[in-house]
Amino acid sequence: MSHGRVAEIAAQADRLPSLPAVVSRLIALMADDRLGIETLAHQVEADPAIVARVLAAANAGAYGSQHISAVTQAVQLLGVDRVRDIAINNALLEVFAVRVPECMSSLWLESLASAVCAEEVAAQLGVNKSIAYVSGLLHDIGKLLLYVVLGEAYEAVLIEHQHGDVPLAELERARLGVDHAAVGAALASAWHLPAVVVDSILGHTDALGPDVVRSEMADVVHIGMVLARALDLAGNPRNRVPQLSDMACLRSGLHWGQCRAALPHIEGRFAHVRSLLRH
Amino acid sequence: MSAIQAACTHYLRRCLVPDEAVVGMRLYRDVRLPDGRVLLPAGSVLDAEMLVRLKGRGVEYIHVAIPDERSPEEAQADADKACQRVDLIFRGESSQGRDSLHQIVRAFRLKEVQSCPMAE
Repeated sequence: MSHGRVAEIAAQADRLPSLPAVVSRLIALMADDRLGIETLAHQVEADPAIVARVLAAANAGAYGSQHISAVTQAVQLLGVDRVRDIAINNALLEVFAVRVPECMSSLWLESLASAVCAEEVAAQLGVNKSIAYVSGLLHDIGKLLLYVVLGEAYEAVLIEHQHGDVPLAELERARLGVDHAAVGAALASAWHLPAVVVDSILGHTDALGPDVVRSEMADVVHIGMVLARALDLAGNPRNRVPQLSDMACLRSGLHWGQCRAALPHIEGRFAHVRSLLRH
Repeated sequence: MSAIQAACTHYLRRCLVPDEAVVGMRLYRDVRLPDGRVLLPAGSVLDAEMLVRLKGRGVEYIHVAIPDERSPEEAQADADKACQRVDLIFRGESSQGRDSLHQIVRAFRLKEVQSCPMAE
């Protein structure tokens, strides 16, 4: 795979809607485990669009005659995780809102489902849940940039993948000289996201690029992505479960018995995060 | 409680966000707060005040029991359809972990379309 080609595509990141600065800062705080009520409220206050959504969600709770107009009060009421979901999901939804062909129409929901599953896998393994969630949301962002830059040439690769058995990343490297994981990681790096997020995007696929070694968080995102597709959460009629790396499962120490018990929770949480997008 | 619910002994489980819940639905599982305390116990039939509490306490989702009014043939057709869908999405080359996941998801989907007594 050509690193020059990856850089050339990532250099066109401005053809996608930009990631709001407040979201980059929230993700950096999450990576350092420093996202408390006050810090979150302070960050949210910097973005009027997010303030409006958070206050709407707090007031939608119908707390008698009480009207919530302060962000700190809303964060206390809704909790850090829920406000994080509202802020980040809505910001990324705007990034994903570019016009895509039919074969990519499930990309957003599959990303949201992978985020929820990666978060649950992280919870079971005792690693940073918030970073797993964000990495799950962003793991396929490279597909979006590849389509925006290459257009029909990338669409043709996606269609060929749907009709064959070759893993997508392998097919992308053969046809285009780059894969969506490398492009996504370069984009995340250009957005100044923490290294743990960049590495997890680079290592999430079922067909790793040359010289790529999966990090602990990449194992979590990989397993989360496969679990999301296995549960068919996005309802993609052409869904097919990618290869699951036995090495990632072994290395992470994940117990499928625990995962089985968590499936109703995953479905409920996915329904919840989807509903937040309506606020 | 409706006449159908009163007469029904078997149910289907459904997962809903609080905005989708309506008065008269019966909880299949306890609704717990983030600290583990039970907000509403399994078996509660939702009334207007409970719906307000669910939304106001930030509950993300609930599991309700819907009366199962399907014939045995319809229930079997649902089970077959659920298994076929899972087998379809797991088509192609596999690995040990993927095979295990296939079986776990198949059992989960099958359970979802099977009737259960309220006390389960």
